[in-house]
Amino acid sequence: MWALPAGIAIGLSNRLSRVLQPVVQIAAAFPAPMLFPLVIAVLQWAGVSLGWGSILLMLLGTQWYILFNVIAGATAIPADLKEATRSYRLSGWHRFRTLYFPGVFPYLVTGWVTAAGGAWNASIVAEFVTFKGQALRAPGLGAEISGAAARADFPHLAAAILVMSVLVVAFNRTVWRWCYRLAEERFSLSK
Amino acid sequence: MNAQRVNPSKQAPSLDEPEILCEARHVSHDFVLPNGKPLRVLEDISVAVASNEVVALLGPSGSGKSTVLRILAGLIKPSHGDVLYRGQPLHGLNPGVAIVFQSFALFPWMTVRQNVQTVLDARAVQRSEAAGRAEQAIGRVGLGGFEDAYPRELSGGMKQRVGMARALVVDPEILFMDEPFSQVDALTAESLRAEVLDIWSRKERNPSSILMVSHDIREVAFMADRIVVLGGANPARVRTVVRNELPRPRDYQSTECLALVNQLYGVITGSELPDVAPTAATRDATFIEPLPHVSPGEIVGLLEYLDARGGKGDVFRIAAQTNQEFGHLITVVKAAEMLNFVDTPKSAVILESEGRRFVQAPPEQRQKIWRAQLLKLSLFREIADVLRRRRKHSIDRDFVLETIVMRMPQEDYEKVFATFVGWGRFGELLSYDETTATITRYERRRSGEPAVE
Repeated sequence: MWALPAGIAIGLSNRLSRVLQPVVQIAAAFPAPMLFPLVIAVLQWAGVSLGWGSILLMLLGTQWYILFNVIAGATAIPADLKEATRSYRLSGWHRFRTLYFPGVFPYLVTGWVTAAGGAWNASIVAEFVTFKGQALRAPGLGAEISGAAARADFPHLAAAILVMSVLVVAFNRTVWRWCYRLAEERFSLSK
Repeated sequence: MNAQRVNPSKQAPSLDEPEILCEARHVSHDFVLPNGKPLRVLEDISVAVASNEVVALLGPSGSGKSTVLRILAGLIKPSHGDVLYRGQPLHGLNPGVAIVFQSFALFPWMTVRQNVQTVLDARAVQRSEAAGRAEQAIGRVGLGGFEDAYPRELSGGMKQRVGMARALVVDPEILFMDEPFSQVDALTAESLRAEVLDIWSRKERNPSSILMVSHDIREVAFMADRIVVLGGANPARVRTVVRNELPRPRDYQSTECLALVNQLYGVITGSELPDVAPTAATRDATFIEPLPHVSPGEIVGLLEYLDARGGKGDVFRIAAQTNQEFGHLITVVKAAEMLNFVDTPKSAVILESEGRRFVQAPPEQRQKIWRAQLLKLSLFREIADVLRRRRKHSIDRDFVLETIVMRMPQEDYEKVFATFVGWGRFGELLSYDETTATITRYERRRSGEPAVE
């Protein structure tokens, strides 16, 4: 979760955001799945199983959503609150806890939700990889979908997609909705 | 600067000799503009706060008073000059100071108690002790019972009480207040002022002194022992320091207090509306007059007001009678003066011949006079020139914005542009199409309907 501190740092500093925003945007525009073969080669060489590797792959594609949102959140933190923390000597971890984290929280939730959506997609690609003629797969729903598609096993494919859809909806309804409500009620800066 | 006695009857000297707590000596400060050039905002400011006194920094908006407060607090390091705390050069934040902010600056996700207590965590105060001190500070500002409320549940006045509790809980020697009551309704502000003085007057405990920033003349006359009047813009200077030795508790309506208010009005108008206006020759050639953010309607209103009262008025009286905020009225008068409609000897406003001709003219004639006066200002003259030379007699908004940014970098260019368009339209000098963001030379429509707002 490097995106949170990095996003806050970039969003708070004018100079950093001026220099790094374009870099970040270009990097984010680069489709993550294109990096998958390279990453998989490295993982194979290091002897890491695809179960763990696919998590890395999914993170690779989704971290940008979080980074972007956190940057936006950090720029939106009001100057008077920043000045207040400075004048009352709230520093380091304390400042993060009292101002930066709550300040970016609503943006972070948005970033998480988008990132999670992307991760479901990425899982299909990441969990089932054909590498040098051999199929690598991690145990998971994404692999089921890719596998079924590769075998043209339509009933299996439909079932797997249905399960994934239900999971996504259930997740949205519970975890994310709770986060959103928290963000709105507790951490809104507009009130 | 010359200190003026307002009340000849001297108060009994306090038992302990006052000592200088914190002080700025010959401080100047530059802001760096986007184009990298420095802009001098403060010039040779010397201010000291001694123990047991209330000092006010008074001045119109843009006179840099909040910057002076931040320099003394150690939040801004001045470009030149020294800041001392108890005689020692100040490095970093001023240890004897806590600030109450104009916008309250409370953390919306924390309760009243948490907002107050969190600043003690930063000072490594024991948890149990911190809870007690927070409780006590909240009680001192009359918020007992609201400890678990969130800021959004509180009114402006109550939010500022939380701001005060947060400042008091760190037990500061000097309480800094930056326009503390300007976002609080008038009646609440009234009671908060008295309560602040009440808290301050308990001699046995901190804060020993208060430094407040204000643009409200009555407020500083009511509260301060010493009033430092800042004036001018870019750079601002100390105009004068006025000592206020009226006995406390003070009464706004007392003759002495009213006399002091009048004296302060005089100092501010004297510095903001100089009797001798700077002529174009004294400025360099690239200078263009900043346009005050005032609508033509307000200027016409002022002229009508003067015309109906024998062509003469006094700024204080006009402000009182028209229920105008004093600072804004000054801007309106400045704008009318730029257009040669009025003259301002001391605090009087006198309708000039051009102004009289304007008010007494029928509408079309008014526009003509207005236009003629506009063309005496270099920004309008230049843009009108460009418009005449362009083939379609039109230019982009960006062209004008650039001219404004290049030539008056310290102004808010969006505001100047809005004023530019407003004044130009009023004088039938130009039309502005907001959707295409283009300015065109004003053409009278065939139907003979003059398009004037």
